[in-house]
Formats: sequence, C-alpha cells, structure tokens
Amino acid sequence: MIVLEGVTFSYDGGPPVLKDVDLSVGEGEYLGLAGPNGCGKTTLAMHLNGLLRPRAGTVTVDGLSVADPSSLRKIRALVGMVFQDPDSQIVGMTVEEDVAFGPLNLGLPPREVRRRLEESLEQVGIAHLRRRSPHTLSGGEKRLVAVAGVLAMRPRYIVFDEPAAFLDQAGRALVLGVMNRLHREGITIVHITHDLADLVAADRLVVMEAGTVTLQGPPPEVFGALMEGEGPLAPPPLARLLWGLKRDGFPVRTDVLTVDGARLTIGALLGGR
Amino acid sequence: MKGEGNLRGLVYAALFGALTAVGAYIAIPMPPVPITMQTFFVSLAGALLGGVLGAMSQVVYLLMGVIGLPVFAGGKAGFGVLLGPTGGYLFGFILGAYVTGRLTAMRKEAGLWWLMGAMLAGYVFIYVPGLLQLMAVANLDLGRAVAVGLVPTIPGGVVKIVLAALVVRKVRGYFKT
Amino acid sequence: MLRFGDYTPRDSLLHGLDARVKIAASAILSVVALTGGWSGLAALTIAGALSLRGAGLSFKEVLGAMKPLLFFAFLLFTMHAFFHEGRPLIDVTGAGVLAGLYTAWQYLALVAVGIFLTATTPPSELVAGLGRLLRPLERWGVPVGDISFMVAVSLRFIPLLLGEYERLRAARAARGADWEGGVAKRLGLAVGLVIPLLLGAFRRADDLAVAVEARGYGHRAPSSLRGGEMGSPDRRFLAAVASLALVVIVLHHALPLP
Repeated sequence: MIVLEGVTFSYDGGPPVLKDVDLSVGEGEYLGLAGPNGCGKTTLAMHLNGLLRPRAGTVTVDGLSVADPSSLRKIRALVGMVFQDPDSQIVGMTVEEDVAFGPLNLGLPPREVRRRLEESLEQVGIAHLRRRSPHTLSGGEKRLVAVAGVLAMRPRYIVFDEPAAFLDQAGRALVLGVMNRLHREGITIVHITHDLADLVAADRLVVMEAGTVTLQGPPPEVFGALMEGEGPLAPPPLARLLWGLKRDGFPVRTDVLTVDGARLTIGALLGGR
Repeated sequence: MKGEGNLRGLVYAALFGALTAVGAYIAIPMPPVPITMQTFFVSLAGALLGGVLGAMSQVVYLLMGVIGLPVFAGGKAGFGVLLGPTGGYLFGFILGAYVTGRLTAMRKEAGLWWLMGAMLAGYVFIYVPGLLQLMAVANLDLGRAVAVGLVPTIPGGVVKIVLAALVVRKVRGYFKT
Repeated sequence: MLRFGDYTPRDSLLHGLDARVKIAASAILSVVALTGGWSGLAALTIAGALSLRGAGLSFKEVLGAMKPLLFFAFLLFTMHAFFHEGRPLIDVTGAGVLAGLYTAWQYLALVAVGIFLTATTPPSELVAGLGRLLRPLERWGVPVGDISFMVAVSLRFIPLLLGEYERLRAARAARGADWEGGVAKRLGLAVGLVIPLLLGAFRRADDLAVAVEARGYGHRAPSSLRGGEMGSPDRRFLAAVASLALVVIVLHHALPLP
C-alpha cells in the first residue's frame, strides 16, 4: 500500500502545488486520479515513487519511507512510472535495449535480465518490435515500450500519467487494453488523466483541484457528486445522460457506466422485452 | 538530491552533444573550413552548463564521431578525422566549452558583453589547437593557415557569438528552476 | 536519422563481427586514409571494392550512400584546384588540380570507411562496443558507464532534435518568415528559431532525467546485452586490417611512391 499523509509540496520556493494531501493506494486496485490541468496530479504522481519528496507530510510505500535514501532504490523498483511523453522516457537505441535498461541498472545477472526482457515484451505484446529503433515506432507502440521497460522492473504498482495522450484511437485502445490486462494480473494501477471517460472502470476515483483532494470514491458516486457541481470536472457524456434522465424522474440506474449497461437500463425504461 | 542533480547534468551534457552534432549538419561548405553551427552550440554548452559539463558535452560529441557516426562537419566520421587537418578544432571544442563555461560562471548574471567576451575567449581555445593541427597536418605555415583556417570564419563567428549571447540571456532563466 | 550508410541487417561476414573490432578497424583505416598518401588511398579503394561482398553491400548502395556528400567532395576539389597557388580562380595549376583530386579522394575514402561501419553495425552495438573499449579506463577513475549512457542518450536526441528543427522551420515558413533585410532583423529571426528548439529540448531533457532516475540509474557500468567474446573471425579481420595498414605505411614512407 502507498500512503500519503499531509503531503505539502511546492517547487523551489514557489506557491504550494500540493496542500495537505491525504491519499492511499491499496494493493491490487485500479485507482483513477483526475483533475483539471494544473491541479497537481503529475506532481502528486512523482511523489508516489520518491522522485519528489514532500516539504511536509510523509509518503510510505509498503512501509518504506521515501525520506529514507537507502529505501529509494527499492521503492523505485516497486513503483513504476510511465510518463506522458514516451520519447522522454525511452533511452535505449533499440526496443530490447530500452526494456533491459531497468534490470541492468538493478545490477541483475545477464540471464535474469534476459528472462525479464522476454517476459515483459510478451506481456505487453511487442516482442515483434524488439530490434526496432524507437524513432521508427508509432506513438502507441512507443508508449508500450515504456510500459514494458517499467514492467521489467517487476513493480507492484504502476503509475500512468496521461497514458492516452498524443495517441490516436488505435493507440489508445492498445494502451488502455494493456493496462486493464495488467490490472487483472494483479498489478496496482494508478491512472492519471483529465478525461474521466477513461476511468469508468476504475475501482476508485480521486478528484483533485488546486492541490487538494476534493472527491474520492467509486466512480458512480464521484460522478454523482460531480453532477451536483461539487467538483471541477464534468463526468463523461454517458454518465451525464444517465444522471440527467434520473433527474428528470426516469428510473434509470446510474451505477453502470458502460455503453452496454446504459443500453440495458435505458432499454428497460423504453418498455423492454 | 545530489545524485539527481548529477543525472540531470549528464542528460544535459548528452543533449548538447547532440545539438553540436545537429549543428554540424547545418553546414555550409566554404573554402577550406565549412561554416557550421557547431561552434554556436559549443558556446552555448559552455555558457549554460558550466565548464565541466560543457566540456563533457563535447567529449560525447567527439566520441559519437569516433565510433563512426557521421556527426562531424560534412558528414564525416571516424578516428581519422581527429588526426586530420580539421581535428584540432574538434579537440578545441572541448577546451572552448570549458573556458567559456568557467568565464561565464564568474559572474552571477553575466551581461551581454561579458558573455560575448567569454565566448570569444572560448573561440580562441578552439582556433589555436585548430590552426596548430592544420599547420602540422596540411603542411602550411602560420600565415597560410590563418588565411585558410581562421579568416574566412571570422564574419560567421562574430554573428554566432552575438546570437549565442542573446540566446543565453533569453534561455538561462529556465535553468534556475 | 544517421545520414549515411544506415544500418540494414544482413547476413554478411562484416555484419557478424564484433563491434569493437570494427570500430578499431575503421580507426586504423581512417588513419591510413589520412597518412598513407596516394598509395594509401589506392590500397583502401581496392580493398574496399574487394570487401563489398564480405559486407553484404553492392557498389550501387555504397554510391547511393555517398551521393549527398559527393557535392562536398567536388567543392573540396574546386577549392584546391582554383585556390591552390597564385591568383585565386584564375591560376589553375597542375599541382592544384592534383591537390584537389587527392583531397576529394581522401574525403570519399573516409566517408566510405564510415559507410562500411555504419551499414554493418547497428548504432546500439556501436555504443556498446565503445563502452567495452573504454572499460579499461575505469581503473583510472574514468566514469565509463556515465559516458556510454551519455552517448546513447545523445544518439536518441539527434533525430528528435532534427525533427523539432524541421517542424519549427516549416511553421515559421508558413507564417512567412522573411529572411531578407538587415543583420539585426535576421538575428532576431534566428533567435526566434533557436529558442523554442532549445526550450523544447530542455523540457525533454528534464523529463528524461526524471524517467531515467525512476528506472534506477545508478552510475554503474551495466553489462551489455551483447556480451559476446571475440572469435577467430574477429581476430583474423583485425589482423588483416592491421597488415594492410602496415603495408601501406611501409610503401608510402620507405619507397618513393606518392
């Protein structure tokens, strides 16, 4: 479990970007972290594996504190991060070189490095790209290379910062699909985005605004609160439709947020069979 | 925090090595020494990264060329270039970046003239080794070497120094954060 | 990305050799090109032609890779032919023409050595080879791991920077950037092109540093994926190249050959 308590942070003497944030990430959950641009989501993300350390408050990962320099390497192996711009993350000159980068840095013996390389490439489905040069890949493929590189560290948690950014539809589907698969395989996912439509299947949503957490809970609950205007974002169109109908007095369910679920509940309303 | 700063420095040094390579790509061949934007980025590397990292960026640049990548002016590569007529300039890049960096660092917020002076000094340390090696390898006396390896680059050099100094002033604020 | 002799995977003798040997060989051969005189260039050209098959390259491919640089070679030639002695552009002497031919040939020979190297060796192996060649220096405190890392990152940056530069230039051209006019105006335009390039690059560098930190970079010289040892083909190749160099040096310096 990752626990943040009273975390306050500002960059180099500037205004506070995070104000007294309390947050926990449970093992195995799919946590969505959303908020408008500038609310501090990325800054918060970088606290999850000790890339940034809070000015006040504590951050612990499975009991290890980020304030303890000797724990940092272990923490970084536990919490992987996939950044927004894959070009800023890929250092290798071929896909396999990049994916092997992490394990090599851990000082693992060559056979173990090779094993993790193979497994990560398979897990993400990019084994056929292994000899390719990164700049010849598409945006989605690059993102997957970054994911594989993180996976090779065998993390327990993976934080994705705007994983669908800069991708076309095919790329998005690819990446989101891999994220869901990893979650099913037991990895804790923290999905950061400003687009709530990507988070309908999350276990829990956290909404941030101006450096603080304003809403927390399962998506239907959070969407409901957002519909009441309690937060800075609008829920995805489907949720708005269902809530709108509910407000208008129609007996629709608002806890199923997929297209199929909505179809069923609206279909029932229209005098179903 | 120290380790992190170190890593950031390495990445920046790598970046400026790449910029120098890109600068060589934008080369205008003129007798006998091509006018390139390499020295422009050498000055920038020194002024923005400081002496040590600036010099390291040029070491990285040279290494890329040595292992065979066509990053030297004119698309050349290989260890042989370092031993050839233009090799002295390449070694000079390392010195020039270092000198520019050390001089720039002597002032907290170096003004335009100080920057240009520091870069000019850097250029001296590029051209002296350059000319010496040119003389030795191409069998020229000092007069001809200067006429061939320095004079044609002066107008371009002046422009580059002014440009570099202006750019440094606009961009160094970024390094404060 | 790399301007000539882009690597194409093939099943040739040269492709299979250890990168360290190839780097060392190209270093030796470029020294030959620069110090071997006419006989050196001739020897290199003949050896090159004979090695085409061993490298899995066709003459047309090598020529094609040289094409963008032929203009520069021509420029070198004219520069020497027309500026060598006497009045520039007017006095064309035989010595000048010879000097021009020599310089142009030398340049192309160097380029050809580079083509053979980069066409038969993927950049990742070049960097790894460099790292291994430098390994002995660790004894004297040289941070070989950091250096290999920087070279690899630098190589990653080059295509990104070139792409950014093209994008910015196209954007400026679309907005009608006018390069006529006084020096001050042109300087302003140049500054306006360089600054966004740099700022974008800095942002990327920061992100990369963070990402690499997150993946546990620890200044350790990591073992490479390709940890192969040198085999007899490698040794024989190196011996062949060294012999060639030796022969050329002897011929050039001991005998009155040009």
